[in-house]
Amino acid sequence: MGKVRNLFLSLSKKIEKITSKYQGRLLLLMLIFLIMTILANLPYLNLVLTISNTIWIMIVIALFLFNISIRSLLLTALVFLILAFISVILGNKNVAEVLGNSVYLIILIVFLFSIVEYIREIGRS
Amino acid sequence: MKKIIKNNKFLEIIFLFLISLTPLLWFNNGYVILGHDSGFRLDQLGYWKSLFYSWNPSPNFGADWSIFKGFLVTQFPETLFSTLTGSLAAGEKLTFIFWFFAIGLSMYIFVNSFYKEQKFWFLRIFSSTFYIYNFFLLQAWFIAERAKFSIYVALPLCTLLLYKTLSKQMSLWKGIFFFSLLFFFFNAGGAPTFLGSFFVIFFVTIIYFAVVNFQKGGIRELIYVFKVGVLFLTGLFLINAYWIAPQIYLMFYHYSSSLAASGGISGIIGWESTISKNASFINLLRLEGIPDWYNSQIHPYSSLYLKNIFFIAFSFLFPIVLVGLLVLIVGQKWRNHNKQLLLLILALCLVGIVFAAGSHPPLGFIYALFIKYIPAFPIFRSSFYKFGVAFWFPFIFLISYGLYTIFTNYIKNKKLYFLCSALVVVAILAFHFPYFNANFFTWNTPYSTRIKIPSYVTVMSDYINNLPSTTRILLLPSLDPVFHADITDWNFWSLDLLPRLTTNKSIVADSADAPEIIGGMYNAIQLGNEEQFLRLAYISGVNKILWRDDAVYGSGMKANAQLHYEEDTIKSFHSLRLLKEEGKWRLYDIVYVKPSTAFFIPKDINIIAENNSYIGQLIAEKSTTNSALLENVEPSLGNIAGKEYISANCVLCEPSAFRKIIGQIESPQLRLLPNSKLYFLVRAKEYISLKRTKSYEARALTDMIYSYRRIVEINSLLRKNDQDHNFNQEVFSNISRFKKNVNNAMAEANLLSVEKRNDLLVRIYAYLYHENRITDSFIRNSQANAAIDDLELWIVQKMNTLEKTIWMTKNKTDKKYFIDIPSVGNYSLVFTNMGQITPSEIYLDGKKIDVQDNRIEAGTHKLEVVYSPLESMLVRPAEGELSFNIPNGERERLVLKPLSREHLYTVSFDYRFNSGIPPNIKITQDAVNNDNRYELTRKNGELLSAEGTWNRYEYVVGGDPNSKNFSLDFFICCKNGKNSNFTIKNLNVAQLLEPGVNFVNTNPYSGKIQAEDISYKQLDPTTYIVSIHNATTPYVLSSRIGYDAGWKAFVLDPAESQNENFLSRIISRNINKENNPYKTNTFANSWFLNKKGSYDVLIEYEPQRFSYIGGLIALLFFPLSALLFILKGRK
Repeated sequence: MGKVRNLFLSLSKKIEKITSKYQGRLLLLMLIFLIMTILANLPYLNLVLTISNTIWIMIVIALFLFNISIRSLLLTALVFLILAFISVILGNKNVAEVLGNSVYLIILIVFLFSIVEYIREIGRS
Repeated sequence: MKKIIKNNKFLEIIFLFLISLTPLLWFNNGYVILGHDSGFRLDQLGYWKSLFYSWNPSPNFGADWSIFKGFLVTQFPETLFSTLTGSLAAGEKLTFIFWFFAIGLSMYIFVNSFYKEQKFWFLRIFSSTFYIYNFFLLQAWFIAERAKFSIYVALPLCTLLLYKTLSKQMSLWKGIFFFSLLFFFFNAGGAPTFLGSFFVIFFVTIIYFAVVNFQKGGIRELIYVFKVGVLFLTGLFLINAYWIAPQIYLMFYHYSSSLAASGGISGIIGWESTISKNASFINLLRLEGIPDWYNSQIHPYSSLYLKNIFFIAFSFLFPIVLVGLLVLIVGQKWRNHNKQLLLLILALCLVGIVFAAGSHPPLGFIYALFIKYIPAFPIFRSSFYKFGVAFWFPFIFLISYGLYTIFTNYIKNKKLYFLCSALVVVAILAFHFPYFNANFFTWNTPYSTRIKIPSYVTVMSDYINNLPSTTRILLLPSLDPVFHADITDWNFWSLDLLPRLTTNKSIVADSADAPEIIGGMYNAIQLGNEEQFLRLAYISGVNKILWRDDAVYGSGMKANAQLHYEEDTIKSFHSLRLLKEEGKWRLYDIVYVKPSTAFFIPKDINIIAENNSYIGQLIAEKSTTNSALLENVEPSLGNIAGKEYISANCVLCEPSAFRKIIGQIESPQLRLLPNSKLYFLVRAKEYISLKRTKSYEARALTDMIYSYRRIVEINSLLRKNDQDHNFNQEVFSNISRFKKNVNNAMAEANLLSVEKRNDLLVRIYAYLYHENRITDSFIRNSQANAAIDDLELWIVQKMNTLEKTIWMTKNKTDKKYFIDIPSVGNYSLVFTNMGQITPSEIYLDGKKIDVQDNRIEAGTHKLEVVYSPLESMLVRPAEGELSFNIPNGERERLVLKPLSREHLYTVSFDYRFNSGIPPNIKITQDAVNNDNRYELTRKNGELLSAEGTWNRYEYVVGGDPNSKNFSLDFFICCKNGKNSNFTIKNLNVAQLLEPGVNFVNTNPYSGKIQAEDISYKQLDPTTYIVSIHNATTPYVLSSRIGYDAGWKAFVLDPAESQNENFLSRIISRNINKENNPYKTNTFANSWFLNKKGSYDVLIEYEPQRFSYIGGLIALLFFPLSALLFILKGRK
């Protein structure tokens, strides 16, 4: 995991240098999602579709390992929704479904973080 | 007044009321909503009164009505409005407006409780509007599902009461009082399945507050939360005890049978996966996923929302708004937001969506586990419909709150804010535009639930309603044979038959669950057998026939064109006279010498086992007007029974029975071949599986499954044609493993009883037959040829051995049976469904026997009945092989003799396709208006698919009474220039012989039963008092009321006989004196009574008693909870 993390972070920094404005990590993730969606939407690439469900969900979980904020996570969900819309338009319901599952997972994570935070708040008060 | 008008909230409610007037657009030009599952009736008040009772006499011979008790409240608005206005259409208009407004107001009250200030006007208006206008609700409107609307109204208010009580903004007793009151009025129609959403909302809220309150106040707060939960649920159950109590009774007695009728757990999971096929998270987040949208090609509006880019984009705005809301809230660190409420709603949303998605991946396994392991959970078998509200309600609130938050954050100009808010409300109404035309009522063109009732229907229904209460009407023509639905040429379609919606009399028809005696009556009409019809009509209490010219079949085939011979037949019956003719409906009276009564004491009692498959034939052919055929009786009753019918079970008598067994053999999925290094895993798995299988039968079948796998593995190995030196070794090993599997299966079969062994050997034979066909197609590898030849020979030898051993029907005129004789005695044979045919020879265990008086020992016996050869229906009977070479576009016609409507016929032959394209086959019967009615449903290319091999073809067809010319045609459907060359042999078209064979043991006690006379009076639909006069022997009291185990007979003491007060009956009834009913004449109840003398017997439908008890509990609870509220908790 350490090597993957380092590779990811170094790539992110390079993108940050190029764009200088936005979070490199997030942009890199979006790029990966976009490529995966395009691949999954291509005909005869069912393998990508089969594994993508797991991969997307793993990526969402992995976001925490890279310390991406809740807000960035939610922006990812927005991108997922746009990609899902494109997939529906292209007639690939399965890809849209996989992206929808990831959106659900993100909302669930946001909820869990918020509830834990809320309980801590109550405890403090 | 001015103050009220100036009050913006008043205007908001006025707005809600105005949009609730939408149903007025649906009811122009005299339309009403009727049919399908809508549950509306012409005489709404009469129907509402019938809901008080747990038994409704209208469907056939009566049916349990306990499950509709909750509709006493849910259908009260329509009853009130219809009665006040004196019109169904006006009543429906007001009812629909009521539900629209109630739904909107419920959401409004919920939102207003948390967001009271003026600035939240948009949140209140939008959420309420959206809660009324959404597709989940629209799919319910086509049949106006009041039960769903009821729970839809209840959920926001239920959440509100729970929230306020748990957060201590409302006192516990006040909460309980209003909560139970809420569920008294909005009880989901008393349908426990619709309470699924409630349970999700309730338990999530309780768990949420358990966590939050525990953090706030420790264990004391936790106890309070559970106290609230328990007391709220108790209140709900107590105030609804009047419908819950009888349902608990039903659950104890009928749950297992209902579960089995739904196909068991696996059937329910299968159904559930069909319903939730499109309920993915992404579809639900777009507030779509409604099953009807995707399953129907002719859905009135779904294609627009599924295909149009604009509408698709609009639906994606819903989840985008939710995510946008979370982005904003998280960004603002929840400042100025009601975090406790929003987190609860989010939790409801996240859990609700999982339940609404049902068994759909990725979390569908949870739902499947619930169905498998939580008792009674299978009642929620259509997850989307049952749990949809649990997601729609919180999600709509979050979208509304999201839009409000986005607007207030980004639009600072007040006018612009107002404009945008108003536009969004208009947009949500426009997005749901199908609400504003009534097209959605047309659920399957041309059938609609929005119809105009012809005047003759109402006139005739009024006439029927004024006939005596003992009127029982048989519907003609018979119902649509596919759906058993009532369909008319004015676009009415319903499984709930039209005369049951328009009259209050018992309506008998051949519905899907109709008892055998009803089929017997229709069959007698088909055959023109007046004696049989009258006898069965008398036994079943039918005294009228309603002929309807407007009835059609689902295919649009007019009844008056195709089925009029049914009316021609009844017109020829001497005992019928036309009572009234009104438009397309005609009512006939059946004139009996002596009218049949609801109760009687049969002189001739016969008994039969429940699983006797010939019961329909026996009641049709062997019953008398004073006989009772009792099913599944206790041994003690055998003493007063005249005859006991014991059925002989025919082995593989049905056409294509053997092919069906072969069709059940599933192809194995090969993941590893024997030459794989990991193949040991396959062997280990098989070894463990066989070890775990306990019964001989299951183990033998498992062995055969593995034998089939061996054959498929060999086939794959040969196709792979590996040059590896181990390759041939693997083939040889697999052959020896195959033989071992088969030998083991046969050895295990020998350990079973005669009939079970035979059944198992038939299956083993079917496997070998199938495996033999596969070995024929093996690729020959020079090194393995000898082994393959040896294998083929081995299989053929085994099949030959089995053929000699197995007892099964191979010839249509030589039927083989097993018969279980319970005790030694003299038995006679009784044949049914024979027509003019008689058996030529009968053998029992190889010895020839007679029809009458045979001494037979107890035990299982082999019976063989031989008939003379049947007449071939081919004008020129075919002998030997027939070769056909049909040029493209032409047909080969084999002329048939006329096929009688009295019989079924089998068309059978072996065929081998040689070249060209495969032909189609059909039997042409030139009916009056519709040629080729009985076209066989074989599609082009399917018939002769197994090229070069002999295949068997069998089909059963009935004769068309309107046809004159009959033929068997082979033809090529599509012009593509190719001929069709094929060969057939053993061609036979002959009458289908399916006789019923029973052994009868005659009891000398028969005919000695005596009770001089009986009289009875009906207290209500669930209670009768039968007076018995001078019973001198034990006897059977029979009824013509539909069979249900809930009908109990109580012998009353003289003091009890005097007491007709229902309350005292409930309290004083001696349960020990109850008698359970036996199913009689396939449809009714009989009770065995052995008390002599004269006395009264109370016949009571037991669930009604539970309903009374439940009603008393509810009556006591209501003032008690009100008192506690007044005394303890007005906060």
